[in-house]
Amino acid sequence: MTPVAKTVGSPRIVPAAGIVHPLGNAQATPEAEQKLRRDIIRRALQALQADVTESTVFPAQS
Amino acid sequence: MRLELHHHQVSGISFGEATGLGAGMLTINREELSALLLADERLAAVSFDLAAPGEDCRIIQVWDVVEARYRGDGANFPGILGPIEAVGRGVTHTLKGMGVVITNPSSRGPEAKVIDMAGLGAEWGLYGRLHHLVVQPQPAPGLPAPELLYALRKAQVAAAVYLARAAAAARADEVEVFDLPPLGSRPDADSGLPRVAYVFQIHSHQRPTEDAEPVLYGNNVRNFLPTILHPNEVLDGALVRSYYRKGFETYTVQNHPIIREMYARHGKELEFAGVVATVAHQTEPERLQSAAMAANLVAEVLGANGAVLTKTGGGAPHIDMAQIAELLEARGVATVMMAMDMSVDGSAEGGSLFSFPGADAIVNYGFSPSPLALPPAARIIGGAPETLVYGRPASGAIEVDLEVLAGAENPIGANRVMAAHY
Amino acid sequence: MAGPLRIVHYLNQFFGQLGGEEAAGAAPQARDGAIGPGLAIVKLLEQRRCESGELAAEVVGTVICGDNYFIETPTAGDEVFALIAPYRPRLLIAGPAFNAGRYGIACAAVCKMIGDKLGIPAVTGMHEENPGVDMYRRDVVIVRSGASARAMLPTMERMLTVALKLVRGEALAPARLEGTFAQGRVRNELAAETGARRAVAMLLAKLRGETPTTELELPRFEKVRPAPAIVDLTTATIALVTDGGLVPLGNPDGIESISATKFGVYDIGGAERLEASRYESVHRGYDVRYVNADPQRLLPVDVLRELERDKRIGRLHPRFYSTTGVATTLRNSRALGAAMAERLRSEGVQAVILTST
Repeated sequence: MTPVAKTVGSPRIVPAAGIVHPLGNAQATPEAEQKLRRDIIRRALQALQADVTESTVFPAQS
Repeated sequence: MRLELHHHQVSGISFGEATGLGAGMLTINREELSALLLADERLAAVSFDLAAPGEDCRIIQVWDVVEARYRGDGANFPGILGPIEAVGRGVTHTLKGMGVVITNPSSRGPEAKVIDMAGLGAEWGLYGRLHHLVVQPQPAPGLPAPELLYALRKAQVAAAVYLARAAAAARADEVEVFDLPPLGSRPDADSGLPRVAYVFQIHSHQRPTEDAEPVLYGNNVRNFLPTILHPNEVLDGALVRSYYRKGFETYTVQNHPIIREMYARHGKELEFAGVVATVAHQTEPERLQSAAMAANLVAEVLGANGAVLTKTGGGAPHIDMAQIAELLEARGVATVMMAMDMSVDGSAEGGSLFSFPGADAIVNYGFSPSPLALPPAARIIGGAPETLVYGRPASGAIEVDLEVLAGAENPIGANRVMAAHY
Repeated sequence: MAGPLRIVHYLNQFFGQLGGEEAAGAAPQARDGAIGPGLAIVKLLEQRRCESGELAAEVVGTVICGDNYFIETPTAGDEVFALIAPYRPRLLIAGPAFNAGRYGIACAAVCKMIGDKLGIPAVTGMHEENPGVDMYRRDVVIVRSGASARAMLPTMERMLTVALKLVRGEALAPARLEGTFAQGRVRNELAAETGARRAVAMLLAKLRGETPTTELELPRFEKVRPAPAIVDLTTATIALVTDGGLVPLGNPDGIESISATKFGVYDIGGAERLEASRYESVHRGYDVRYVNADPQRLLPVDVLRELERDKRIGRLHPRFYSTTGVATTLRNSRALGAAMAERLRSEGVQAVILTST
């Protein structure tokens, strides 16, 4: 959960798709789910390449 | 809206010929009740037992506890039993001093709650002080789990209504009135009393509801946005516990301790503004939507100066609650939150998942992983003496997490259990 | 007990009237009787004796040490002890140190040393932001004080109340009632009122402008310094780590489903994806059905393999790390994190994607 990650000071935070399936969506089609997963990981890779000085959230579609 | 609860005191229960209440003694016709519940084809069989306060008895596999209620001609438990219709107005009969317990034979681990009728368990749980009818259904072969849970819910409220109905003709021992007029027609807006609201998290979607899981008026509260409820609706059967094991029993919703406390002080120390119902979400956008709307309802629609907030479920829903409180504090609305103590190792720093300025008033309702040692019990209801409870035979000395003793860890403040730090 | 209760008081250079910062290097020295804040102890003891017949007590000596000397000199503790012990005290009072960091650490260290070596009660007092609190709260009874010495008398009063209880062998009340910092013991108790009644009463108190007595202290987390950015992902080895509790079916390492104390490291070799038939989540804090149906919903191995094939990343580390993050103590979390980081680094991993439920 983003607020918890922020509270504890995680340096690079990517909001994901929810507690019970952070990298998925049981309601979506397998294709849509795969796309969701790709999007989140792409943001994670962007975050890894970003210089940050404090806890930073990388929101969707950045 | 005015609700009269007509309380009929029950001081003993027995099985007999005709279901009815006389001189405090409730008689139950087992065959009639059994036939009523088995009309639901999802259930293959049902058995009943009675338990009395102080008895050397342990009820196991407990799923929920409900108070027997009958709304006369109105809808009972709308959306589950009765047609959809707003509740909280008129006369509702209650059987006081007793509970209807329903067991789930398929519950395992912490889902299978325990009620002890004597000793430490009776003192720490909420239900050892009541007489109980224990309803023990057996599912039809091959019944899917969600179907069983729905059948349990339905059987439980059906039994509750059946019993209270039998007492409705009798004169009540006590009448309790809950009367809160609409906000616009309150007589004195300048009473000088603080306006106080209650923000009630009714479910945590860290365990998503089933499609047909009734929570609020039969609704599964998915995609639920914060909404204002009249407190009487909560007291009168609009809301039952969700299937999630961590939370409050329906009995404590019907006797909601915070709503009762606010009513008791209404017009004297505070002005009870109303109830905002919320749920805890799984996703960030939903959590933000919920927090923004709930805070707005409290501050700008109800116009409250202060609010008590509660949560249900495990650790994650603390965040949903705290986000609302943070927005309220930022707008100058004083908040008190009720939280589970999360400090597994007893360090203050581990006590909570959130932290923000203004979060200076938190009531805790206990520390879950703390083991509770319960003594042996002579009689077991809901299973066999050798049925395992946390790995030990039910009839012997057992040791369970706090949450397993029904009512011990009550997130809406019905109990006195709290974690003390030394 | 023969004679009055013998108390030794520990002070720094400032409160011991040796001087200010210029005297912070002063070596330990002893004075008979009370000095400075010690006079408050004498006065309060006298009051208590008149009002409630409290046992007779006297400050037999004061030991003073410069703050810098105490922090910087390895033998300072021993030197202070050598001055305190000859007074044959039955109680040690240190400070209060308020928000003075070095002084707070010294007070707490002296209390711990005296408690350990002489087996007598030792009590100090300080402000919650004093670093001495986090360093010593588990080992030492520390009374809460304001940030400045203006709160001397009420602070000393509470310190004495607590200290005399300890001398008499009485149990202390819960920390929030006693005005001390909790020492890390927590247990469930039955309060006098229900939670609902306490909550509404607390709200009304807050609305009246009173300071509420919270029943749950909020955490203060240390600042985490972010690691530098990855310059070239196409050569980086990226590992997947999760606190969502994914383990091989059967949970071979016995990872706890709640309050974890360990983590597992699991080989995925060159697998294209994690098969549902081989993994399960043992996490007790969320509904694991969705992850069990497709582990990629927690550990996105499939997507990282794609990225590997497309040369967007160097490679996916062939082992994933897993634990359960639910009601895990901060202490354990820190230890798990540090151990994971060390091992990941030794395995040549440059970056981690940590998925959390």
